[in-house]
Amino acid sequence: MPDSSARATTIAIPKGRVLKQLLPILQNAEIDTEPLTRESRKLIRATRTRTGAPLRFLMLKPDDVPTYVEYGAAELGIVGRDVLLERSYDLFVPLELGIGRCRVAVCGRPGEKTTALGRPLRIATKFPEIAKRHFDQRGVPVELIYVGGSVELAPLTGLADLIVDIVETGETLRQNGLEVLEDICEVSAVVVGNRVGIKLAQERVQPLINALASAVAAT
Amino acid sequence: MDKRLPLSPPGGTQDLLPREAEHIAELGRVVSSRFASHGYLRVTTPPFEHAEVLERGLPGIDPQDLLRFVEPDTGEVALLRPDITTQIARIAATRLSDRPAPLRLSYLGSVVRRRHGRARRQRQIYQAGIELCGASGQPADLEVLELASAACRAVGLDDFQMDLAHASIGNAVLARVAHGREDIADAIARKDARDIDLSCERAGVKSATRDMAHALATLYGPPATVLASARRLLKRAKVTRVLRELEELIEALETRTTARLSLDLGELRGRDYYTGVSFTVLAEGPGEAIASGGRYDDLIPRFGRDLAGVGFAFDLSHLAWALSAGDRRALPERDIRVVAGDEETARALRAQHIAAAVVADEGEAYARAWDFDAVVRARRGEFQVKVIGEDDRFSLARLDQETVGNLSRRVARVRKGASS
Repeated sequence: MPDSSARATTIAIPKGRVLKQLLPILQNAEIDTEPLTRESRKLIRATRTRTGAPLRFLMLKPDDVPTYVEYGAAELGIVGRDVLLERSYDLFVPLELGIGRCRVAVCGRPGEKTTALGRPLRIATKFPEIAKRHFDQRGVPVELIYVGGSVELAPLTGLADLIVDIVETGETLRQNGLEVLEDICEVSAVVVGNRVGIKLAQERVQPLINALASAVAAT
Repeated sequence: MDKRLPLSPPGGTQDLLPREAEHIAELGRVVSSRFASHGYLRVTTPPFEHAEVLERGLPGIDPQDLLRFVEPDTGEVALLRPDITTQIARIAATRLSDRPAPLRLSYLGSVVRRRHGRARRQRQIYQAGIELCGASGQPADLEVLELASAACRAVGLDDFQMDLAHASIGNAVLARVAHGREDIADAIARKDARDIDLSCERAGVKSATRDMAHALATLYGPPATVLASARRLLKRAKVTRVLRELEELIEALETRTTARLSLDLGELRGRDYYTGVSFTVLAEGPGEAIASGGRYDDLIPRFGRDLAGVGFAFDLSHLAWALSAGDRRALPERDIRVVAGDEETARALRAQHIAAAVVADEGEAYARAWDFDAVVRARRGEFQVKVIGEDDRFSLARLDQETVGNLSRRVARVRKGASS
């Protein structure tokens, strides 16, 4: 039986934008982030906390983070709440990180109606579940069109009446002549945990969550 | 062949091939015999039932998790069983109504749940479980917890954790909320502080209640620590008595199991169903509980008999996963399986309780090495054994007990070498 205190805690993190904002928090939590910033194609990066506790970071696409944690391949993960809202995952959400803050909103040409037309509204989105819930709650019939990116193009080309998308600064919307018509929710990055993993390795995982919490408070 | 014919089974269902199927069956057999040794009697129940009957027993279940169909004969809606406990409750209240309580019943079978929208879409769950009907109080809870622990040991799992919860504690806090209780409970169950804030705000609850909701989300871990904090943080919820009961149960359980024990007072997911203590058994591997259970005193009365109830069930696939995740051998030796050159040899082997099959020639046996462990040939009254996967052979004069022992040790060594 390996000594559980010597085992590495596995954390699934998203590559890219959120990772950059995450680094100061990890540093404040006294985690050596050098292996994370190194130019490399390695998908597993080993590092340590200042007290010597081993950590293993899995570098993933954001959408895959909750899947790894739900299956227990990672004990903790860092992911935007939008991903959690789009599919229901069976996870603990022990900490809000306050980074990657943005909102999910209904957007379209200025003045476009978001309630009813003579026909169902056509909505292009990467978040069909969030969009469906939003319009269901308002009793507005919609036709959802899944698109993977450059969602702003949809109302411009007549593919859809409106879009539901993440809005960070609103710059892309502005440049394409669109604006926010209705806010759906605010989202930011959170720490998620496997329901079993957190409990089996609490003496190893809890101090890490606590350190991240203090780091968030101090950042 | 029609290329459009979907030859893999429907999503979430699965075929188990020989090794896995045998492993699951063996686990079911071992835990069932442990249940039997504690006086639990086996019952079997139908794979589907009238939807209304099962739904009466499962008020909190998400309708999207259920698989229904219309029974062609009657036009009634039937439901593939998502749970066997409800069926046992029905039996305890009806066909066994003349038997005096307590009833100790066990079952082995699969249930079907849809589990929509989750990464893990497994729908068919192989369960082995027990129900103790008509016994309330700590001794009954303890009996069930102890049996869960003993059954884990019986299959060779020695590193596991029993995580306990109590429905009354969360419910005492939620009772202070007039509207929006479900959202708050859901946020607590996910230990999601921000969502607890948002849902409390929407529900307009007082700050004392909100603080207790936050406390519930953090009250998990080693029992002594959790109980001490709970006494401090949940003062206003008037749960002193329940906390004391829980403490007594844990003290008693500590003397009867070597499992690590923990508490999670924020575990509210089963709160529509459980009326008292509930628990999960956790181990490295599957990322989900390998067993879960608890006290459900409201269930059997719904079918017309006033009996308390407590029980638990293993998820046998998760149990198998946990066993293979450890570095220990999953099970006591499975039957060693040999192939004999002729029917006479095979009969002699079977008489010694060695599983034996006859194949046309040795070549075929080797081609099916995943299926067999050894080849036995009889020549002039002597047996020759060749362990598959190894070149050396040794001769055996008679298949007496010692020989059987040698044979099985030999094969075990070879298999161990192959797997490491």
